[in-house]
Amino acid sequence: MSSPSPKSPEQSDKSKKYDRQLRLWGDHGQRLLENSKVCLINATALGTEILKSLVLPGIGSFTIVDGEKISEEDIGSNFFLENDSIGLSRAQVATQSLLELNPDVRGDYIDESPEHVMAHTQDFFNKFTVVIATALPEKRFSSDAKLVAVSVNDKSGVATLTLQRPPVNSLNLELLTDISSGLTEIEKAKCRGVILTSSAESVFSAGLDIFEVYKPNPERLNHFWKVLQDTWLKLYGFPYATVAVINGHAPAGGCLLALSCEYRIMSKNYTIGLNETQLGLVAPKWFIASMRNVIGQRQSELALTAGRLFKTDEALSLGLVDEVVDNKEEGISKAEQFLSRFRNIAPEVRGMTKQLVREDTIKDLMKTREQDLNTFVQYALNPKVQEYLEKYMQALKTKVLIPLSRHLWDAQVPLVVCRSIGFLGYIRLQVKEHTVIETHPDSENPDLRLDKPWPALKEHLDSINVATLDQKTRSHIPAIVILYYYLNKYKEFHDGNVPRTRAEKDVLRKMIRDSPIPDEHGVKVLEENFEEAIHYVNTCLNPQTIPSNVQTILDDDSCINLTQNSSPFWVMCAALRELVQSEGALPVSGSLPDMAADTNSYITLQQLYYKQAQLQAEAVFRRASQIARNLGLPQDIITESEVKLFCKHANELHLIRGCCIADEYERTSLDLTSYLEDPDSLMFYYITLRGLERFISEFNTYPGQFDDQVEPDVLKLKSIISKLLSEWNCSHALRDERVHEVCRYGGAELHSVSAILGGCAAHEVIKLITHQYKPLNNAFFYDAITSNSATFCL
Amino acid sequence: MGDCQESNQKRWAHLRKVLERPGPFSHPEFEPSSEILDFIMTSCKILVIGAGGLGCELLKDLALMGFKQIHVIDMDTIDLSNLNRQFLFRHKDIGSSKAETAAAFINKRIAGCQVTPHFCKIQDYDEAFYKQFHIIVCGLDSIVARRWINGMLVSLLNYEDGILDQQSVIPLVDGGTEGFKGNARVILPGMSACVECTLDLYPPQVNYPLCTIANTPRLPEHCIEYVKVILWPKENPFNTELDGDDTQHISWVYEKSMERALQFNIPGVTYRLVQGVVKHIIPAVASTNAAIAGVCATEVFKIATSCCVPLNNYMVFNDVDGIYTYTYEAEKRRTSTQLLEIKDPDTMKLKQLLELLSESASYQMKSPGLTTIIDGKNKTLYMSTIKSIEERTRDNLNKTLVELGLKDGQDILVADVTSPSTLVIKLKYQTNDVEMT
Repeated sequence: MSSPSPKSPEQSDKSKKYDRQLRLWGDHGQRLLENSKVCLINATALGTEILKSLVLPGIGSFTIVDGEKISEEDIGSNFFLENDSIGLSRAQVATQSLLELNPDVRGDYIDESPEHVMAHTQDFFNKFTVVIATALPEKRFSSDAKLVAVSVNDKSGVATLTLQRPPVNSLNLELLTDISSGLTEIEKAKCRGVILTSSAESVFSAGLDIFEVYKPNPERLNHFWKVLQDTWLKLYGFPYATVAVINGHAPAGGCLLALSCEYRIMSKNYTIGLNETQLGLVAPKWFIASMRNVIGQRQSELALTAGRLFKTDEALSLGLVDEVVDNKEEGISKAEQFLSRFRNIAPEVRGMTKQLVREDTIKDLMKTREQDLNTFVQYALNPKVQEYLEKYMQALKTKVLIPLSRHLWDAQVPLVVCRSIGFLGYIRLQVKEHTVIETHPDSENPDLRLDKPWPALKEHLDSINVATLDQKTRSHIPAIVILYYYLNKYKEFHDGNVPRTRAEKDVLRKMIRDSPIPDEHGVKVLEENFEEAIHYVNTCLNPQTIPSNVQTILDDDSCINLTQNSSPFWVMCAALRELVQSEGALPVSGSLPDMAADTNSYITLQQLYYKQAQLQAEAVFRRASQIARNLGLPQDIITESEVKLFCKHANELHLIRGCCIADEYERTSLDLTSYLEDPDSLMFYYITLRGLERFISEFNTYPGQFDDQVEPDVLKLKSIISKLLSEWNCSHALRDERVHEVCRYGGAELHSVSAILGGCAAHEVIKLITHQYKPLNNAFFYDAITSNSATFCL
Repeated sequence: MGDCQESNQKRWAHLRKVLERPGPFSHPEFEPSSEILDFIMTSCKILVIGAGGLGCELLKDLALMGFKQIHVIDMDTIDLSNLNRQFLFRHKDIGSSKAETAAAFINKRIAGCQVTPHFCKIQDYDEAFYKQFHIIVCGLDSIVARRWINGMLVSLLNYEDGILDQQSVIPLVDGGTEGFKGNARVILPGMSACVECTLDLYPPQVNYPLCTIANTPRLPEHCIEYVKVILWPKENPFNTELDGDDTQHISWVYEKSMERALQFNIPGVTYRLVQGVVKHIIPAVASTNAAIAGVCATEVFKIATSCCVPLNNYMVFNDVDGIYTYTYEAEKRRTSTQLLEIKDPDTMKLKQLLELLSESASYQMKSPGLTTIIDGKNKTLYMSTIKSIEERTRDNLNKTLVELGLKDGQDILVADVTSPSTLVIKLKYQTNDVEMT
């Protein structure tokens, strides 16, 4: 036999590839997916897992924003970072591996932190369909990265030491250690001179890292101060010529570094000074000496006691800096000019002279090092000082999540914030307004309208007299014909009322059950269609009311007061509202469930439902077009097929009005009592998580990140959480073991937990993009210890 | 020892935190130590059954949870429609073995990981193969295969004086998905509910009554089933069996279904629907697979390390409306010889007994073969899988149990593709006559 010619619609490769998912969200859902632009902030294991499950089904494009370099730990948990990529840009490598998954998807990356991106391109995030953020805020520097860069110009013999600890070159233990070893390196290289400068755009150095002093670990605090002394001693007494090119602000410790050099060149419009008193601190004697040796006793006293910061030009007139330049490049060339002054002087002679000039100041510290250390440590641990520092830090802190959430809220771009830490996972959806037409409910009651059949249906149903049909025909009529017939019989005996209560429905059921004519043995055989009719009594007789979720939407302000900015959804809702007002019910859905029947009687009935649905949808379409015209909206904003889909699903419409994360974090009272009284509630994870977030933003590390800090971090986290709870006026306490468990994780990201969360988060993003299925509202917690989860509306 | 050093690498710092630190919620027997990671990396052998949607995820998850001795078994080759979720495969891999391609990808991406592929059916291996694993994890779409591996693990159990030898227990972690729904479970064979105990959880396949298909079609599915079940065997258009992967076959079914639908005025026959009905296609997305595989891999990690108490024992997952999960302890069914009550052995034919074994929710067999012992001799009652025996025993189908000489209390040995071992069923005749007098 010859093969028939294929007249059938052969599928394209694309629809073959996506076949298994098109059966879920259809071609129209896929179109939305393919037009979407997704942004991922931070390509952590969780981040790439989310993107993986979005790239595979074929989003339009993605952009990764991540300023981190790949660490060894990243390789151990993130599938999309190859083994040999340590030290490379995480955004770049992740983008390349993810793009391999699906040639239909475009992807790019920005190798910068989200703070940086927000600061430079205000509206960068507005262009996305959804923004996803993982591990935000996160430590912004990697402990592996070099914090200073040393380069030696072979021609001129000038070495440059560049501070590069983003964002502001705060002098922490690691940076100071690197400055010190950088100087040692330069010393060995036997160069002609050193230029000290910064890679940051507007900051030379913001001074001592306040995190070293705020709530310190005493041992580290000791070490920190010793290294600071060492670094200063080394720089101040450095045998070669030293120049500071101050290409940005240089307060406090930043000013100290500059003062320790022999010559200072500063860019315009920045500030410099030892402003310790402004921070509630007393500058140590050697700080003071460094300044006095430059601007003299009188000016130093005035500046120090007031904690003055001087503008560049003021600093020049005071002699605090020696030259003013327009930019860093000019500064470097001026610095080289300064260094060339010593071309004809023997380096040893020059070095020894400098040594003698500076000897007394150096000796002063050498003699009192131990005492200086003790004074500082005692002082730093003083509760008053800590209190002061805390206030200062609060004012200083620049959160990333809060401004981002506010910005995206205003721009109406959905934001999905996720975290995976140890066995705990968290997904938070922030969406100002989200509307769904197709929610795909698991089960739905058929929409049959037997209580109020429209004329055509009534005419058809009335035409069948079930009781008089012959046996064969009886056994082939659809169940709802039977139900309608006996319902009318019931109404005849009950003043025209339909059965409402269970007992009343039982009466109707009995009428149907008793209806068959006994066979030759006297047995009443109940045919399948009669069984079905009895079954429908329970679900299909309730009067057709408007579900409360739909009523809420029809009563919503956006539905009543349309504007030119109203979305097609709201225009259709307004049209639907008009129809409901005139007809008293939602349009009929138009689908008829399968029921035992012969083809003809079933199809006749099905056609009746289908036609009525078409008629009503056309009416809604006409109204919607009229409304759009009145508003001055373009005519093509609403299509007939869209309205038909909308009407078909009119009783499952869904609306979410979310809550801004910034508002949630800034809320001062939170009533958790009802949750916390329930021993099975997972609400404690919310408290744990908020505590964790606060810990990270206060200490710049995860609780328990370092093996020797687990116990102290438990105490710190406990106190943070109890403070949080008291801020919320919540009298409950969090069980200690919860805090211990989180500190055990130490910020660990377990891949399998990230895989679970990644799948879930990607899924919610797909729902947001396709506007199908109900997204979670609005915070989801997953406990991988017990495999339990909970969703809270925050 | 290279591997010992590897477990100390910074790369595994994430895992080391949960394995080398005590936790308030860990298993009572958990003792934090660096040896646990060494065990996972050097000795712990895992078998992944299936290298499809769940399998690809499982391999990735396990490899990044530190497991290195992984085997994967899958008889399938890669198809274009796999690429929307089976992320270890590329367009160029279409037609290659899933197990081999997946193993090669993981071994390349994750340094030190040694995935061993097996491009075959699970039934191709015997006890000796399955015995070597510490934990087996399944990502399958076939209930038959699940039951088979479950039966295999049950048959490996060792009892001494009626007490289960714990050493013989190989934990089975099983995941399944369908569209936006899924489940994950932990089975300790002999100790907790197994696949057979919860057979009724699997939804029965939708079957349309033949008379509807033949005479009173109402749905597009009825039209398609008509072409598939009645028209194809009659017309035999390509002189071969219907192959759901052959586009010419599907096109033929589509056109004939359209003809039938037009004849009966039935709307809604589409090419996609035809394919779905013919191939019994189950919708699938990457995201649900990722979540369920993640849950399974986490359970494997818990069992292997004791760092947490494993799931006890069943988790339901649904992300149609928000994300919903529910965990509970599925109950174990008694496993001693099963009694099968027979109402009327004088009229019940062997054919009906076979139907009972196939249709009952608690057996769900495919093509059971029955043997028994009569007067000390083995007697095959019926077996469809071997042609010569089928011909020899076909006549038994229309005999009643009594006619076949089966007595009350008779043991029937049942062999079926759903289990590697033979099931013993004891017939129990209801003695109505006695009660009535």
